[in-house]
Amino acid sequence: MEFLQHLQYAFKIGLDPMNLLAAFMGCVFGTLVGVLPGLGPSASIALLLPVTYYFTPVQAIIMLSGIYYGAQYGGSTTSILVNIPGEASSVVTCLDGYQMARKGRAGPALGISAFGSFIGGTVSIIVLMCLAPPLARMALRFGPPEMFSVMFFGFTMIIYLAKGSMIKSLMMAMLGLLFGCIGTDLFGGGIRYTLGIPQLTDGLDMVQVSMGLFGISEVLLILEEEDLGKKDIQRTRMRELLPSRQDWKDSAKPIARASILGSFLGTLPGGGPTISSFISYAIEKRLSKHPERFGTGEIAGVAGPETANNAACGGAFVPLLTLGIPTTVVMAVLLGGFMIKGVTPGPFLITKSPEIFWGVVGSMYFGNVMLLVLNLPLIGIWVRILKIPYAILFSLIFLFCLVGSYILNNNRTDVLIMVTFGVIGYLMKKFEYPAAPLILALILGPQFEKYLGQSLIMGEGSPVIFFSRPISSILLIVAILLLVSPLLLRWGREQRSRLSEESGDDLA
Amino acid sequence: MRDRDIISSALCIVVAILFCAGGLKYGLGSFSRPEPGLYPFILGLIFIGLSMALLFTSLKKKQDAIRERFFPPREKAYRLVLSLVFLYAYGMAMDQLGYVVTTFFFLVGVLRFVGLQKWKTVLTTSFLATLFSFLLFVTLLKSQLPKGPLGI
Amino acid sequence: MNRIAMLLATVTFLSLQFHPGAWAQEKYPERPVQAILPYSPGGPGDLTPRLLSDFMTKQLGQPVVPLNKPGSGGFIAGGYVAAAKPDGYTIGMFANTQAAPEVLAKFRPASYSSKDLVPAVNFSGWLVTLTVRADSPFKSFKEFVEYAKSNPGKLRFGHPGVGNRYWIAGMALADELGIKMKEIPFNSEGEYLTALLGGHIDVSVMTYGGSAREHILAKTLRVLCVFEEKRIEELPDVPTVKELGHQSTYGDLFIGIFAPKGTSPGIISRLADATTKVIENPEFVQGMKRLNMPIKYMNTKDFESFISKDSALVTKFLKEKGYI
Repeated sequence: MEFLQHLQYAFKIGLDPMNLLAAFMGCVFGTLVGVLPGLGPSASIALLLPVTYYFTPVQAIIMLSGIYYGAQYGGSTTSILVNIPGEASSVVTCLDGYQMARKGRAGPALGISAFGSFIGGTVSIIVLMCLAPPLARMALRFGPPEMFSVMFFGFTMIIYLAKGSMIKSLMMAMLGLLFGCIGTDLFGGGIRYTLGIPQLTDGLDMVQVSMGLFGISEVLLILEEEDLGKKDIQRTRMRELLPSRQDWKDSAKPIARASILGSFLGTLPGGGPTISSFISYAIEKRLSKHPERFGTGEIAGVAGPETANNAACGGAFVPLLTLGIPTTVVMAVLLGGFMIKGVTPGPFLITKSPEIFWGVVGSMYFGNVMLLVLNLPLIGIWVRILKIPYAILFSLIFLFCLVGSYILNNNRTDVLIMVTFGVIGYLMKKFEYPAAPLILALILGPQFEKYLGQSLIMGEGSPVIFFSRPISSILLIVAILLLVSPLLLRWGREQRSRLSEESGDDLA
Repeated sequence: MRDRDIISSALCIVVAILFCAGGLKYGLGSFSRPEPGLYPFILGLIFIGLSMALLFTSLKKKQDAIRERFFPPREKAYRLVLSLVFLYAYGMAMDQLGYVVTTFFFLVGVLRFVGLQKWKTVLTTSFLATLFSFLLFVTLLKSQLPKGPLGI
Repeated sequence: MNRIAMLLATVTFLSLQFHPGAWAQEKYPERPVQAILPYSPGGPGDLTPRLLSDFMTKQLGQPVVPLNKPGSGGFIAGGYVAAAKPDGYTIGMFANTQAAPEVLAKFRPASYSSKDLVPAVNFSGWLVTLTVRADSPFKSFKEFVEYAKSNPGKLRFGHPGVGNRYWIAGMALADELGIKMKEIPFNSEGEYLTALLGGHIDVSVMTYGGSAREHILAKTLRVLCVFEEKRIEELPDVPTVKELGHQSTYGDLFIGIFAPKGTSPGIISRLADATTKVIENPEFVQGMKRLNMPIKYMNTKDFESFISKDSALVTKFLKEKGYI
């Protein structure tokens, strides 16, 4: 009964014309921000803070929140079109989304991404509405040892992302972890591997690296291979603009799974959307009937992650609104936005300022609808961009990456680092090393080390701590089983084939 | 692929050794009192192990039947090198020359000398792209892009 | 006659260009002033200087434009200001760490030192507290110390990283009290706030502001003491470290305006005066209240001497404890 009352209240606030306008502005801006890498939601939310002076607190917060989840919609656009992830959570979308675009299926990829994002976002709002306080309490139980286990689980998943040689994937994962060590060491306070470059004191930024590793290297490769002429980036003719019935059938279950996964993972600290997206990818690959197709343009590899990352956005609001805890940098900026309007989220928010809480919730529904309506027609436009002759388009892609990496910190060293990673990415492609494990290890690496170190200090140097706590031990055991199972299966198969050889197979 | 794998895995071993050396420099400490170098050192060791495994399995394979060409033919290579020159130059010049100038000349350079477009296309595209991106990033999004000596 | 007049005018005009201080301080500022902020956009460390910049704009008559140059604990921003032209058009809004980077040289190198910056005025700061969960067995500072003394190395202390002023404040206090705790570093206050609420750490140094304040007021967290000279208004029952008989004023953190070395004293005093007026503006006070940030004022001279005393104190502590 109370739920319906809350829903009514939320809708009432959400439907207020000024609030709708604020949500619309936020969503449009957010989509733009998501499409442009380098200009992340944090920077833009901060830039718009002065504008919110003219709004009431509820309107301002609705608008800023709109930027946040709007960006998740837009982030996949560049991943699919030009293999450049707009956000950390869109990296995984590059793997299959871009391949779909090259096959002329950019439209369906963008479409399923938009729909999946919508469904994921909506599901997470429902979860937020019904389960916010208990979810927040559960999220609090994830301390360093639990988070380490989540990360470890995530790393196990990287193995499932392996396209081609597993050993090369593992090597790149190690390299990614090592690159993640560049910068300040949290425990000793010292600086590692920066070669005296001050911009590296905080480590490599995922945006620089992925723009170089994915974007620039891809352009370099195309420049090398193709005769440019008037051709465009697609290898085959443009087919349908929207997902087909088959696409929907293939995506239904992934979307459903990812919605739940993302809603819950989003409540955990440290990059809910990112880790949700690739755990979703790994799960879909594992459960798919055609895992070998992943990486060549399999739509489930787009539907799952894109749904998961939007669901995680809603999930991230849980700790923010109920406890005042931001789980990622973007949420921290959003928190700043709240504070500047005199609203400090915390245990009192739901009771002291219900219109804020329910206002955000209500407007998120409409925001998601608006985003879907906004993004679908845009597909036509984006797809037309792909038709620009590559001999011109490539310069724009270059520019995009250059400006994007500069805008990050207003600093030219970032640009140079990005280009260098472009060279590295090019070489990696020539030598056939996968880039995805490297970037994912780079993103998760610092957190991995952090949680490991913190847990060891808590446990006084002994790894027993990971198994003495229920959540952590369950995750670790499952991860280890997953790690070991394919090896065991392969070993089992080899044994069986050896036995059948020795016994002289009659069926041959 | 075999030859390339041998080269690349050897390279990886070198890189891994460098990381391990760094780890030693930063101090290893012990498991209960870890120092900054311990974690990267162990990672480096694992990396060396994996690279060596790849190296040995590659060495055991037979020679490739077909030797695929690694480096692109001269004209294409020229495109790559030139692009890289322009990309790095962009990074270096941004702060001195300002966004507008650097962007415009970068696009001209890249479109003309790599994309081999006609001057008409080159100039129109460069002009429009510079203008549009300026409006987008600076005017609309209020980003903090550098101004050159001419004040733009 | 005209020619001579022209010549004189030109010479006067040119010579004034070579003495920017003398000329400019009358008319300063004539164009927008860049205020360099050492943190990423959005946190209170960013919002407070932005608020000040807004009000300074009205006060000075020229836009004071904030520019974020985050990274390296604020040293990138510090270095940028230190290397800028001392014409008053580039200023920084920094805290203790950025004001005297050489103190942390062993942890993190900087491209400049405190000698390269000139402090103008202080306008805000951070209120540092020692906080535990409300359901923890320590109802008072005394109980906490007793437990810590009889159980060395058991308590888990959360902090924002080795070298951070909060860490220094906590460690200095622990040192004075003679207690040993497990030090667990985190990347940000948000992280250890979560850990504290979740029971994964036992005690930490928390800013009295933002979400932490909400929890303190909601009684999910309890403050044992504050690192200030005087008690915090909203926490009348919480003692200061001073009252408890401890020296540690390492937690006295400021946010102030700095200019590159060589900036003329005229410009510095213009900035200081403008800030003084802003602080008295009731709208500014309201804004700061909404951000839950304190107004702490120190004029140029006091500020300068505070900074040198503060750095000397911290350097001495770090040296004695073998951190540097």
